[in-house]
Amino acid sequence: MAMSKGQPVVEPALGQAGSAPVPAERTGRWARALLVFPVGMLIVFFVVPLIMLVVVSFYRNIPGAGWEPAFTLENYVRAFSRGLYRDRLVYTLEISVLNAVLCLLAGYPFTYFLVRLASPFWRKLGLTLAIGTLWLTYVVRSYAWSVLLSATSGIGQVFAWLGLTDRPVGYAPGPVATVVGLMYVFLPFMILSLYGSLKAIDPSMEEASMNLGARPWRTFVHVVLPLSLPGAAAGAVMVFLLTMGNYVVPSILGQPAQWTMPVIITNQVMNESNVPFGAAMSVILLAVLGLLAYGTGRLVGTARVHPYAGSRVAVDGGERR
Amino acid sequence: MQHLQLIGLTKRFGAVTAVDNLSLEIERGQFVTLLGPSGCGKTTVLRMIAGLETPDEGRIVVGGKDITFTPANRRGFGLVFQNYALFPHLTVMENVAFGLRARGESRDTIEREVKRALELVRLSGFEQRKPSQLSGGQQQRVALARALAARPEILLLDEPLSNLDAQLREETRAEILRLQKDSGITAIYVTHDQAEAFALSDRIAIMNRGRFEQIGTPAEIYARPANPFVARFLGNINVLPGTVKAVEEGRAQVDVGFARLWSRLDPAHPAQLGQAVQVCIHPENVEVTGADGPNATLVEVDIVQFHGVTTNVRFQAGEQYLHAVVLSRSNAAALRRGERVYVGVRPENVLLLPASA
Repeated sequence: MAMSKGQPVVEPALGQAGSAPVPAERTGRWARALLVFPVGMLIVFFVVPLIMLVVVSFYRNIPGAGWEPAFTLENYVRAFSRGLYRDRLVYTLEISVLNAVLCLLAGYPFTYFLVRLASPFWRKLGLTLAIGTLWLTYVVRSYAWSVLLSATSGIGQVFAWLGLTDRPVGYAPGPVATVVGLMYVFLPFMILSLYGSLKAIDPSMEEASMNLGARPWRTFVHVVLPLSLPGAAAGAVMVFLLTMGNYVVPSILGQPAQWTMPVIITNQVMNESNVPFGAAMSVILLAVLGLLAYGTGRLVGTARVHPYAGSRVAVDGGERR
Repeated sequence: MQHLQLIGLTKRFGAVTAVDNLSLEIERGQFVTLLGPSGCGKTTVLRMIAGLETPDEGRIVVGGKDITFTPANRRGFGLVFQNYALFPHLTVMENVAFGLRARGESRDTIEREVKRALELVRLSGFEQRKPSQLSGGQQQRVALARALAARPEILLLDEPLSNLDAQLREETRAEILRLQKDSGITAIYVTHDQAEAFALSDRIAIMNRGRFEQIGTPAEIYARPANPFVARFLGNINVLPGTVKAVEEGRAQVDVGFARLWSRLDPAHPAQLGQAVQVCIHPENVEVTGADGPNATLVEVDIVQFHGVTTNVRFQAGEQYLHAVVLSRSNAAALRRGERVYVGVRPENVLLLPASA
């Protein structure tokens, strides 16, 4: 009740500085009081668990008996010294890059032609179908692909029937299924990002290019592609980061060789009961993710200085709603 | 010599006929303006000439060659867009060089032509700027330079001044005229602003609802609007409904409600007794006579607006308004609201237009 009463008082004061009808002192108090809620949420649900994670990552594991508080680096030493865990981290990065590239290659032409559809109805339908898969959870979609890619009842049967293979081949679990599953799950994010970006390009850009004598391919390479780059970059970064953090798809559709860091961590915690080691690997994964997010954020950030990119981001948000 | 011919051009968007069976011939080196209200189809005509729209019927012929279905990128016409459509990710230089690069010109040629085009629009030194770092007027000039750099066969301009403020608009108007006269390029200009059209054009085609209402030189059109639509579109020309009450040799008398006015008939526009007409009187031809007389009538001064050289006076004449433009230093400019005076129009200045439209 206090919240709903307080909000209208604070909002105009924050929105139009200077012309606030409420005394500054009172407004300040209200604003501070209201800040308690989001800050509290942030502390309780984000900062505290993160601190716990970091603290536990320095604890000592007692096999079969949980862990004991300590300050040891052995979990980190183990994570970095064992080839297995280094390889898993590298593999996670590799498959995330691969997935970002594949989603970009598949998503760009699709979105480009979707945006160019003259009829708003078909455009919206296409977009809805493309992102409609998000309505189902990863788990269901992953199991669906594991059936589709199985030897007994899936695409392997079709290939065999067509004579492409001698006998039905099963792809799940395995590398093919993992890549297909990851791509299927994260492609909608790429399409969404590209859609806003491509939609925001003024049609007169392509017309001006044609008018100046550029053939369609030249127009695409020199006008459309550069103008859609911020959206493509944002989509690729998003898919990359989401893939790195995904546990469900590689664990359902992959064999151990396709397990990514989140799967390894889950195994340590759930099966090996080695919570400190799982925590240490989580911290490492988080650190890598954070560094990459910061780095790519700076890259995309520079692209955003571009006047077009700014408007595109705005349109992007508008389109989604 | 005919440079560009539009022959029976028609374009429909769904049930709407945007351009309806238009024909127009443009001579080499001419500056022709398509003038009309928004939605009259003038931009669609320009876009069809540019190759950005395909006509449903009719042909476009340039220098005797049918280009109706030639793709836009092979026409070699320079188009200046209303919103300029500069490439935001390219510098001024790259924007201007775009057409030359698309044509695969040598580096030297590109450098030379870009330099020339930027000098032409007086933007030398701005090569490395991005469009976002330029003012509206500068962007407009870059758009012009970009269109001109590749030495187009025909220059097409789509309301290029509509996004500029009044002062800049006038300056840029003079620039465009200078560029066109210097280069001798054939230019087609689209606008809804009759002042722009008058100032720039060798010929004007006035458009309404996808058709041409009148084609002629600015002086011809102003002196003798073909119909009430044209007359009204040209600004504050008086257009009054009337009925022909008498027809004599070479002249006719029309009742316009507040007065009966004699009109001198020219043989091309005869009048019939009882015919409903629209009477067209230019504001500069409304004279304050001071006394009653033939073609004079008593009116009341409604509004006086000072414009510098001239002063606009609006008279209340019965149910109608009568607009007059007088020199500010004349006695008529000293009229006050509410005064009652006699005004008159000479018979040769009373034009009878068909009542339709």
